[in-house]
Amino acid sequence: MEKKSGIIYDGYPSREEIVTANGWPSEERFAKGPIAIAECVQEIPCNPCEAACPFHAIKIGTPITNTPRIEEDTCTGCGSCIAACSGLAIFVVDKTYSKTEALISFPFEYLPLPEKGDEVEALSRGGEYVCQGTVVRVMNPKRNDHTPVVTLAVPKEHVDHVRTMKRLVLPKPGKGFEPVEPQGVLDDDVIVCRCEEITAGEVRDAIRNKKATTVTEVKRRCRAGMGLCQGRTCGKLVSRILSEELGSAPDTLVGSTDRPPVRPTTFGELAGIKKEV
Amino acid sequence: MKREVVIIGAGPAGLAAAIEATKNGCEVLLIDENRTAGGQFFKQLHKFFGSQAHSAGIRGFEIGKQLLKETEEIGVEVWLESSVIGIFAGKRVAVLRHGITETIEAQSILICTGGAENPLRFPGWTLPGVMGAGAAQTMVNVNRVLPGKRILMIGSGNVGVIVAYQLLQAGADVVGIVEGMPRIGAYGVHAAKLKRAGVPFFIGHTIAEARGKDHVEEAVIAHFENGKILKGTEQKIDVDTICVAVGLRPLSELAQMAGVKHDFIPELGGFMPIHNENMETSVKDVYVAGDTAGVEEASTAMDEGRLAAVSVSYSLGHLSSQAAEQKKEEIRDRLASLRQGPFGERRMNAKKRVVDMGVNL
Amino acid sequence: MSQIFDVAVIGAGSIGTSCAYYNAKKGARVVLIDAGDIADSTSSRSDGNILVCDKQPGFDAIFAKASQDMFPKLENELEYKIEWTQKGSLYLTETEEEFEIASKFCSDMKECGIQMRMMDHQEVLDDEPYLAKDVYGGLETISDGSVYPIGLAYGFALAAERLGCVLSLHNPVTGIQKEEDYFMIQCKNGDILAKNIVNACGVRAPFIGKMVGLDIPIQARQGQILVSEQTFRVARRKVHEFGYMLTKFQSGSYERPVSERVKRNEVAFVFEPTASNNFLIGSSRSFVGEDIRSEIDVMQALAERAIRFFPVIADIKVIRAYSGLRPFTPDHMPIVSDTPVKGFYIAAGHEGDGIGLSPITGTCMADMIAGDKTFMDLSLLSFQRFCS
Repeated sequence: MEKKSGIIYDGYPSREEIVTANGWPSEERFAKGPIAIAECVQEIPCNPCEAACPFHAIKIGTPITNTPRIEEDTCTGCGSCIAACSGLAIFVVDKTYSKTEALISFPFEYLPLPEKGDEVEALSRGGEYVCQGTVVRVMNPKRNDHTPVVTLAVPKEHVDHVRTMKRLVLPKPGKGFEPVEPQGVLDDDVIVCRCEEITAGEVRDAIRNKKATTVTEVKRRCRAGMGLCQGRTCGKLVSRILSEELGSAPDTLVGSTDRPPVRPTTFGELAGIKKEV
Repeated sequence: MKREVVIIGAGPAGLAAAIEATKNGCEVLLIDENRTAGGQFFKQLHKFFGSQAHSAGIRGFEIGKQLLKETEEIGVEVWLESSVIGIFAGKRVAVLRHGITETIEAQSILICTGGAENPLRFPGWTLPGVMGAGAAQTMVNVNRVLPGKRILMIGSGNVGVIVAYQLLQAGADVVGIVEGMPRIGAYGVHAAKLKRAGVPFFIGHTIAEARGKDHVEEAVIAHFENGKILKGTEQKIDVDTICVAVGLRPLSELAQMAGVKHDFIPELGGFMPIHNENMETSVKDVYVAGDTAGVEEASTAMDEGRLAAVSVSYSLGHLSSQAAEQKKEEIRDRLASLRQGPFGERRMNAKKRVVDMGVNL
Repeated sequence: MSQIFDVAVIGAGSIGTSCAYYNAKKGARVVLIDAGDIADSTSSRSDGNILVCDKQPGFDAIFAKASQDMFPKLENELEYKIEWTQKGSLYLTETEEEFEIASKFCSDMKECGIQMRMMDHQEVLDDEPYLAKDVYGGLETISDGSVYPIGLAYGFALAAERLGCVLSLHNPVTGIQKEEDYFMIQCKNGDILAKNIVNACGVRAPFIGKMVGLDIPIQARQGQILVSEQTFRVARRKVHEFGYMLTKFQSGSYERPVSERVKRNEVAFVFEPTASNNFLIGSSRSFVGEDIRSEIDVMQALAERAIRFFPVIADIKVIRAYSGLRPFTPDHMPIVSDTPVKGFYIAAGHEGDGIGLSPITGTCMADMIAGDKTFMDLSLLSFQRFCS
């Protein structure tokens, strides 16, 4: 099978997707100083970045689902947009930092925060190790509303790939994935209704051998949905089995009738008798 | 006891509706079964999408706080820790409160009881340690308890991906996100946050088993094609928690009990109450809003709540037809803008179908 | 020409399925027709009591006893778990006056061969330790039992099917045409031909009756039930208040000392433990057409009355309320009978006794259609009694 790439397959946007949706600063512009890069490639209804830019360099307009475009001549690379982006998808790159190093600023919402001068592992959009980086700045003013912005200095050739840093404290690693034989648990033995402990096999029996055609009819035959939760959990599971067994579209399957009390209520509460404490 | 408007559920839709209706002069009673109002708001630590008109860029719980403050300032009557146990003939709402069942006769009822998480059946799904992603989110963000240390997320929609991110932030390890479809469901920007943190996505995969003695110890995942597991592709991973985020469905038991006509709208979560362009159902003076009226998101829920409140205010004579129409127009514009784009379009079209059915009721 | 069935039973509740089964057992070619599922209406919204204790002395009690006596063998015969248990039942009396009425009733019933005995205050409390301490006394009926009512109907229907009965479910009847020696039953899925028809449609029996020009005096008498969560054994068997008899038959001058809410909803306490460790709480009576929505005022009255007799119930949860429609006749007796329309029979109108009376009703109906003598004279159940 051909390996598909792009945001919906990889979980991060390809360079082409970014260029098409948001544009990419020219080398001339990079040479002039820091500039923001939006990596927001899908048409989602969101535009706080537009208002967050003090220089009105970010354009979305109408409809609100337009992808953001950053005017390279207007953007000063101030970084106000980084924490304003609800999707944490705006970065600032400064390729003029030094002869060999460039700066990348990114949102970083994990504790503990790094400190200026820390050597950290710089990671790519895909979370892979790219290179070492040095923390140059950590900004977390009130207006960022708990979205700190970290600036790393990294070798120039890597700056287009670095988009974050490795978290400083990581959970203890586990054993990881390994191939395994299935245990061969029969689906018929899997419980469907937890309250009454009714299995998928019992539900199928009600359908195949006892002529149940609806969620209610299944309930009457095998008690699935008769328990404390009144089918609130299993109703959907039963209707899925029904549609598999009967080959009917799910929209033809009516759920079971909802009856009061919607929440379990004691007889005392119902009768309106105050409990003596 | 009598009230002009009874609003059931004080989440995004209910709070916004209560504020709007009270401002318009309605006598409102807002009921919620939880200890605090706000519904899902207080689980939402991330910044919301949308435009400024939708409070975009603000974290969900901050929006919740703002709405709560406003309900207090304008003096909305709020009953907390009060469960509505049924709606009965004559628009009577039975409420279990302080250990006693009380019945309130309403002129209008607005049902915004939200949604419920869909279950997923697989061997071992009843083991402790398998839970809904929403439940995990409540644990970590509201109760400040980590549901587990090593977590596998089933479902790559916005809920799965946002909850996975918050679990990471809280210090858990999310070992992977499993998605049955051949593509990631969530907004790409949410997925990208997890990818940067090194969390793998397993698209075209499903959960095959949860294993463990008294608690989840291992998860088995496998390739998934055309609704079937591909034998021989099983892999296991050591985890203590499996979160299931395979969609929500509208919670509309109360609407059903009130006799509201329902239909099956898969894009909005399945069986749901049909409503018209004013959020009114097939039963006169019974309204729905928010996830109850089709699963969407908090921003649309708030505006649907306001839309219902404006309609109620007009029908009770608290707003002139002109004032009501103007308000409705503004709200509908905002809703339309939230439902644009490839993600919103399906919901937009589904909502149109709902409203078309609703108009002909 | 499609086949002509010997018997078409319309209505697949406990009565209809029983009629189908016993007719098939006699060798008749039977079709069982229902607009919906087996046990779709009253039979799935009832309790499962198989009682003689709530019958009137005389024919009513003897007929019920004959039916009850069939249950112990039914589970094996039908090869279906109908959850039959036979632990007897207990009536509670609240006052001395009520106790006196019950005592008279007890001796009348004994004369009909029903095993009953009065119990004094202490005996009743020893029997059911969770009872309210002020209960005056009780009346025990030895032979009473209970089943899972829905299971009973399935059991009859599936056993009938094994005997060759055709189940035609989800197939509403839209009209009936009388031909020379058979009926043409127009259904949603096509016509069905049968020599005989049994109208076992319970509260809908009048609707089917009209199709052949009969005016059947059955009315829907709604009743509501509360279901508890699975819990400890509050009482070991069916317990109800003797006042139930008084509300059922609306007779006598005795006034129970009850609240307005209990009175206006005609609520009488009925407790029935189920095989799955829940219990059901009844009962209420009202004529509200075919409305089967639950009503909060009734639910509250049921809970109040239950707590009066078993105070421990107050802390147990209600998980569901439902209501059903009893097919009520003006004299509280069912119609198990032929009619002026030759070949058209009625087995309906059992009010709250349809589950308990189903085996004997089916048996009698099969005998009647086959031209055999029924086990006793059934003229008290004839349709003719309403035709004067």
